[in-house]
Amino acid sequence: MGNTPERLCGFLAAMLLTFSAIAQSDQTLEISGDFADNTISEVLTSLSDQYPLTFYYDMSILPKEPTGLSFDGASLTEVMDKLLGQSLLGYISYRDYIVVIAPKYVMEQDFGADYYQALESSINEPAGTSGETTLVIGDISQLGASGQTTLVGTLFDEETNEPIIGANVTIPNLDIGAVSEIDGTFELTMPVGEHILVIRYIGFETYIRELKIFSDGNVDIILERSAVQLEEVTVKADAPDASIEGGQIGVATLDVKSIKKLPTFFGEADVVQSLLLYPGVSTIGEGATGFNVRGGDVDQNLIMQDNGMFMNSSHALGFYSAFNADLIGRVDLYKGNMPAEYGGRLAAVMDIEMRDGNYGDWSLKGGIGPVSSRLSFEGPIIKDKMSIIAGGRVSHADWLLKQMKPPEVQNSHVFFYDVNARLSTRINEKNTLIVSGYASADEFDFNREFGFAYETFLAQAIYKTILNDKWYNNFSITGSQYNSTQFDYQGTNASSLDSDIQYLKVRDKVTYQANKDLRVDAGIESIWYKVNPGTQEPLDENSVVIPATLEQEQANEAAVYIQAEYDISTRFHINGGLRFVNYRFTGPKTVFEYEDPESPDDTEIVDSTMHGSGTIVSYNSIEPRLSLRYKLSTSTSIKAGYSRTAQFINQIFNSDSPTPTSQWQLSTQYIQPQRSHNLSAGLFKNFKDNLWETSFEVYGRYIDALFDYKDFAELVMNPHLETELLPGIGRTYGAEFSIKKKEGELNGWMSYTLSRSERQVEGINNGNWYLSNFDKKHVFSFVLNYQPNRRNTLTFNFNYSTGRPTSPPVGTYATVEGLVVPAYTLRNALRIPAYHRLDIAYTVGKGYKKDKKIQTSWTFSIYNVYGRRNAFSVFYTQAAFKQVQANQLSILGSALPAFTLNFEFL
Amino acid sequence: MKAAIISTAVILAIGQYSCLDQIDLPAPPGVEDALVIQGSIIKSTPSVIFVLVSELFDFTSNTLKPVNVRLVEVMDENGVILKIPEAGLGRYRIEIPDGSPDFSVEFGKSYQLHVVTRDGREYFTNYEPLYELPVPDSLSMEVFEATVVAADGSLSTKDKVRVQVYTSTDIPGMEDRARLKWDVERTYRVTDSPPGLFDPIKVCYLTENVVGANLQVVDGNDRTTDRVDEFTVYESTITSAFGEGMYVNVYQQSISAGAFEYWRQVKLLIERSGNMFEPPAGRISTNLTNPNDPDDDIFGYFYCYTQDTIRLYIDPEDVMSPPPSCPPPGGVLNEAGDCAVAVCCDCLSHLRSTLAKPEYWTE
Repeated sequence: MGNTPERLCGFLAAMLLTFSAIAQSDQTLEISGDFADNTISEVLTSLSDQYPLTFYYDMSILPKEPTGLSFDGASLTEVMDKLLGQSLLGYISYRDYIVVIAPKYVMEQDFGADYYQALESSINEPAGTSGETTLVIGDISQLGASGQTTLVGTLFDEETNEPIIGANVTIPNLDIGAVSEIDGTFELTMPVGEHILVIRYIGFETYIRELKIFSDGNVDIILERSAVQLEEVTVKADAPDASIEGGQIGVATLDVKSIKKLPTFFGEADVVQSLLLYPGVSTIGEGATGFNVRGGDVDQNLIMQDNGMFMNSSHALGFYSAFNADLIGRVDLYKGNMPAEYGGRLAAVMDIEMRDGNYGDWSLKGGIGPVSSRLSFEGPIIKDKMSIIAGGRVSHADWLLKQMKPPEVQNSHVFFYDVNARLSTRINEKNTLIVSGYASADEFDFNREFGFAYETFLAQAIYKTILNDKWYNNFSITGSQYNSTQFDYQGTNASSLDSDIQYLKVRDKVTYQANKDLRVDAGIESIWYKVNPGTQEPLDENSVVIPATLEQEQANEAAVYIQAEYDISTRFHINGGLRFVNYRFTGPKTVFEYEDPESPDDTEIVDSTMHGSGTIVSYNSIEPRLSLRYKLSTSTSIKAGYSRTAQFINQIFNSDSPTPTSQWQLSTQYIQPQRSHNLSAGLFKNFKDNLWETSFEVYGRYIDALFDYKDFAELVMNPHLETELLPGIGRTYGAEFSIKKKEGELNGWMSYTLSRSERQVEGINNGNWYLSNFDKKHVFSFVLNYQPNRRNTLTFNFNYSTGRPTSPPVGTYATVEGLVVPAYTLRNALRIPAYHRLDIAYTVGKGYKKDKKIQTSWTFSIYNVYGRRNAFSVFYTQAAFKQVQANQLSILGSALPAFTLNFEFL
Repeated sequence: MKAAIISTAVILAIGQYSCLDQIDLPAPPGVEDALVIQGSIIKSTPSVIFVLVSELFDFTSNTLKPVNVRLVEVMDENGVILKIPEAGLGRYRIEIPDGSPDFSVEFGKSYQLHVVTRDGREYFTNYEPLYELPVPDSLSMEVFEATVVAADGSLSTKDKVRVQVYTSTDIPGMEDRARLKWDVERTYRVTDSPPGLFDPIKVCYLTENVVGANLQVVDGNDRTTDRVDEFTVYESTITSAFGEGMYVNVYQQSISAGAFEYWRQVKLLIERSGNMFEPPAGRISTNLTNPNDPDDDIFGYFYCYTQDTIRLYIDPEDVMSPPPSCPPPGGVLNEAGDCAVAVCCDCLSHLRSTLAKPEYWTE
């Protein structure tokens, strides 16, 4: 305060009123003194000591020479005129005792009322005198002429030091607010002066501070956890009104916390099982690998953990997903419409973000279930600097097999494990390095007669840089390998079939946060694929299987993209982008030439060419992406979106569910990339202060290039795979409705989807449209949680879906030998029986004392309460001269109870 | 079958809660007048051309629906046409002696079938080649224990017998190896035990086609060597049919690539088990087309083959001496006084039963 040297006064520190109050006050002062040997600065210091005067000035602008002046009863005006007369400086007097010195040109500026108001505030209570409840930001000397300031803050969790996403930051007296971003930052523009800053986030104490802001400034704010928590605190993905505010249509964000309370198969919390409760997401049944989004195939979903793609997202032939829920921070599912930074799949993107380890404290948690167990730990290797989080799961189902009566089952074996580890290092406040790895393996063996084995390895490094307060960079490199083997041990067909796929992905993304309304992302990524489609070997000397290896295939998929999120107004938000993809299928590779290249036939091979390394064929894809949101009110918004997508790698299978060894096939000159247009629009409305969320969304996907399989297609170890495929087009369309109550003792959600998914392929069903394998006309989900207190949760979960299509015989005929042969004509002309299931789970959870070192919870669940025998598939059997009989295979036909213990050491 | 065992066992292993249930599933509207044309040229002495024409029958009936047509004829690649006369309802057959001047059936030639229905539909096949046949070397037999899946999905073990063939797949003068198909019949002896005190006891020889569960086709070009050895062509649980001796008659055929594909698909269809990894069923390929209506639903196949016969006698002692078929364990007559097992009351009641011992039956 005052004219101390530390008090720098900017050029903009000028006075508002050019009133003549100076003259009046000036008349009372008589200044005397000999300052001939003093500099102006020294004179001003002496005057402020002797008289009730306050001077504001920037030391650097004052002349350094001795003034050579002395005064005897001079007025303040006379003194100032003489002191500054020979310089380019001017001054303004404010009230009776304040003098501001600045360059003369500054004196000519107009300063806003906000500025003067702020100045007065700073004068009355200058910085440095704030109490514990007052947050003082900036310096009056830095204040702009407009009097507006921008506050940029970052929110951190007191316990974990993790940034807090989705917290509500408001200035109630100004009725402005913001929501913290994925890195915990928020930005608010407000007039200078005194305000109230309020920050709210579930599970944390409400943060209320008096805010005095004088210029732009940054602040880090630590939020304290609530002493009594109603629910487990996790990094919550949604702000309360995210469904209204969110600019991207068709995105579902999974509540990681609620995963663990849902009743599940044998008590294991499962990410994919939870996703099935969202509209538009379905599966063909228990035991099926993967999931279907809006009628798309399972391989049309891009499944990512951080930046790594998963080629097989399930364990134990589809009964469990490959993801450890204890390590997950966030799961986003983009259905159809996806931002430009994603690509390579037609239907959906499931983006799983792993958590950083706790930078403050160590903890250990795990669970023991009837057929699988898990353990994870996290903590600081260097406090606040480097953390690690790691976890693993392992199955132990063999004991169950040994309880079975048939010796063949007792001699069988089922096993899986997965491990994750993530090391996060805050190199400095601007740079973060994350190194992570994933490994998993599955084995299944039936009595040494038949079996599968598959494994995934994935490693990635991510380097995040804050270039400045507007520019960010995220660079990553990911490598992965997926190997699979199918064993047949018996007789003369004893053989093994191996296949694998490797990729290396390099990605860089630059973000420009121009202001709170505009954010631009641009990036480039390149993926190198290497696929070994199949190697078949006889297993012993009695086997007649010919050893064979299909040629390795390789390709590169490179993309550049740019996307912008822009709040055109408080109501209108646009998220648009463009993605350009160049795909090259490269050699070395033998390429066959067919008599009719449009319809390859392996009996019509005319020639073959051995290509060296280099491009054999390339495809380009221009993929615009657009998502719009218009807020009709604070509780209602309408959204619409469009995206063009392309897929250059497909999993080859024509069974109900892909096998673990179903090969991945790159696009070639004969196997065209699949492409689609995706459109959607929806109405989103919340009620009762965001307690209730509702949405109604319609969508359509037109696939202008896809393929389907010929009848009796031979897909295994086929060097002419293209001869088994038929090109065509497809379309899916539907409507999704959901309603959700987010909080309260009784909460939950309900979703309903009405949809259709069909294809048209020349050579199938006479070229007419037919239902795709994953068409489900009606899908209904209902989840109800009853949580009277923190410790106890009762969850009900009901699912219903129309049976999916199947191909029935339309008649039979008898051969000369007496065989009764079923005659099939139309593909997918019938539906298997409908699927419905009720599950219940009861969890006795953690207590209220958050400082308790060991916390446990028990979950008792019943999966398929009323023992519904849901058809997985239908097949027809017949015997000579007997009627054809329809049979259904049900994976589960009874209720499945499970008891799981979860523990946590803090 | 193995796939069914595996998938069922896994599911049982994981929870013992899976199920295989028979259900009523309404079939979609069929193609009521869809024709099935099955024909073959069998080179032998004499050669035989046989064509069977029928309609599809639906699930509510197990009755064949033979259909008479206006014209059935076969053409060779030189344009020589042979009309095939009717030999019964929906059956057309002709024998061609060796050296016939009217029509010759020769290795290396190709033949086409032409059928015209009474309502004017016309069908042609492609030209199907006739290949020579590698002569089978021998058959062998072994008894083994096998896991059997019951209708309720439960597993058990049973003694079974299997017959295996040994043969070359080389066709003289041809680069491609043979594509082989085996038809299997069994002829077994049954001594009946008629209920009447004065009814004569007869010894009959019953013949049954057992391809149903044993349809086997092999493409010699998919093998490491030019041989097929220890290849199972017949497998059966040991029943009383083995009780008085049995001959397993194996007819080895050499067929075209198209015919091989047809029978491969038939095998896939009749052996479907509902395994979750099983490919879907589909429309069986046919080499019949209606040039006037490409969308006409037509089923069946016409092809040419030659066949050789090889037999194996199975002595009851070789299969653990099962009890003879007659009298059945519960007695010849049931509680109602009716014949419990028809062949035990009269062994000639079987469709293909004869009192005459087959000329090959030397045991």
